Amino acid sequence: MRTLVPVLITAFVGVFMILKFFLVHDGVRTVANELEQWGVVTLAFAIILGVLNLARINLKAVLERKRDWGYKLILLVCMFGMMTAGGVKWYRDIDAARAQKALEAAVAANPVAEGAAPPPAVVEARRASEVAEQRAKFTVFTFIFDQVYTPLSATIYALLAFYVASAAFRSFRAKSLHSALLLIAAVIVMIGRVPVGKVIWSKFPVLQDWIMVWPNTAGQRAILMGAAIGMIATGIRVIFGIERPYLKG
Amino acid sequence: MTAEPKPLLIRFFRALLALDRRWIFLAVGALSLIFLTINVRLPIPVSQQSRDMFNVITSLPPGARVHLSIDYGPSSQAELWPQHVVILRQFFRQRVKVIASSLWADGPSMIERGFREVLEELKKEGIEPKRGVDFVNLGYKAGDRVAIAKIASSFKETFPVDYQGNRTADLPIMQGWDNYSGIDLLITIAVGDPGATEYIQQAQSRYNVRMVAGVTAVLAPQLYSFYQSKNLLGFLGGLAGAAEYETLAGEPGLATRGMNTQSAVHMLIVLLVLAGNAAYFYLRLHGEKVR
Repeated sequence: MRTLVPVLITAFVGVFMILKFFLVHDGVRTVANELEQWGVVTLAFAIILGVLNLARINLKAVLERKRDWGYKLILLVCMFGMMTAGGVKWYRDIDAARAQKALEAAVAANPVAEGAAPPPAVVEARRASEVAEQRAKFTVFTFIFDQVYTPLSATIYALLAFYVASAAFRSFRAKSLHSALLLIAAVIVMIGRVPVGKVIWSKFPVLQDWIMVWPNTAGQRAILMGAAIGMIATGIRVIFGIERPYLKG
Repeated sequence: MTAEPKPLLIRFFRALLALDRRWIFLAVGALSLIFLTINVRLPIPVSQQSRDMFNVITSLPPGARVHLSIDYGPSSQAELWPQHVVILRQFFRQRVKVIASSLWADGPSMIERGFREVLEELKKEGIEPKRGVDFVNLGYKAGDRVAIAKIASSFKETFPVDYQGNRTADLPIMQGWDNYSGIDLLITIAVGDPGATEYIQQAQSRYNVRMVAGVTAVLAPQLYSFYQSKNLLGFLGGLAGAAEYETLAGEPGLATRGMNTQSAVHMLIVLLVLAGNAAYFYLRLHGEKVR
């Protein structure tokens, strides 16, 4: 029973998702849409589970003073600090939206003749809306995201350029016919993709385009079709209960 | 029979292969800095896929609805931010309604930053789109492919509230439509999975919605087959794609400036690879064991 029920649920969901793709029947679509909604909700819960798990493991390591416990403490402080900052931002956003609605209501309730000064209620609502908007715009969350997280993330990614240059120099050797072809294609694409390529030889961009449009597309399409057939086969195996990765816990 | 080895050349190639990688790091860093400061504008060749994307976007009439999925975070902003900004600017200039969302947790903040900076610029031109009327940030949705399928069938069910906490059903921009049959163009600016390929599989092919994409240079080769099959009407690949778009839009910006640096570093890598191979073959030819 413990195996049968999950297998039946999986088969039911799988069949409905396939039917939704091919049928326009309202009943099938309604059920499939509901199942998709459940899927989205379940996956959202997975994030909460992830946060709880991360907190549990790292908190345990900090309390037991395990190796690198200091880094784990920083992780926890940053995680909960960012969550708190996000919560404050969310509250301020809601506050700004509420103030905007109050302003719209005040304007609607106090029509003003053209050229006349707005009534005090509208002036007050406008001032409150502007203050709330400013408070929503400049938050700790936005500051940390823009001034700390963004430069740090971009820096880590940018380091790739240095390692790619070094790795290409050390490892990219034409040791066989295949690697020689790869090297020639890579050199043409690298030169042809940047403006200086056209300055060196006007045909570099054309050659680069030819490599991307023909050999590359042929290879990519073969990979895509192979992967698609594999996905269909796996889907059928999961629907029929032959493959049950979800039971392996 | 091999040629007589030249000791000087052998010593040079040995030294080259034993080059400390920190010299390469230094060369990359120095070239980047130098070419960032040099204000030379090389002609940028425009690819057909970028031109097609530009044409699709410019053909949108005022009031058309665009679903802009920002599927990247700050780590890949060097490549994708210039695409994001130049496209968003064009949407607002054309009075297109922008419905933005993200499948990446970092995405909503990138969307907000995009709106903030582009609106600030456009204010000087007298263009002041209103939140909830001309654009909306629906925020992040977990679930990858399932989330895309759900978005495609109902925006309001998938995003009951927007990023600011407003009920989406009450927003003027969300009135009179709820799924991809009400969307004139789908565009994703994506760094990986979920991104362009997943949108094509789960939404574009099902609902036959017109779609374009902006992706990192690494992802671009995957999109040529979708472009040939017309699933994608056009796409931009990496910083070069953004520079091509800026050229077409007649607004040289971040990407165009970055192409000088990219040209220099690409040439450095090509030279390093060629020099490494020359050293490898020369030393092998003269009986030395090299890796």
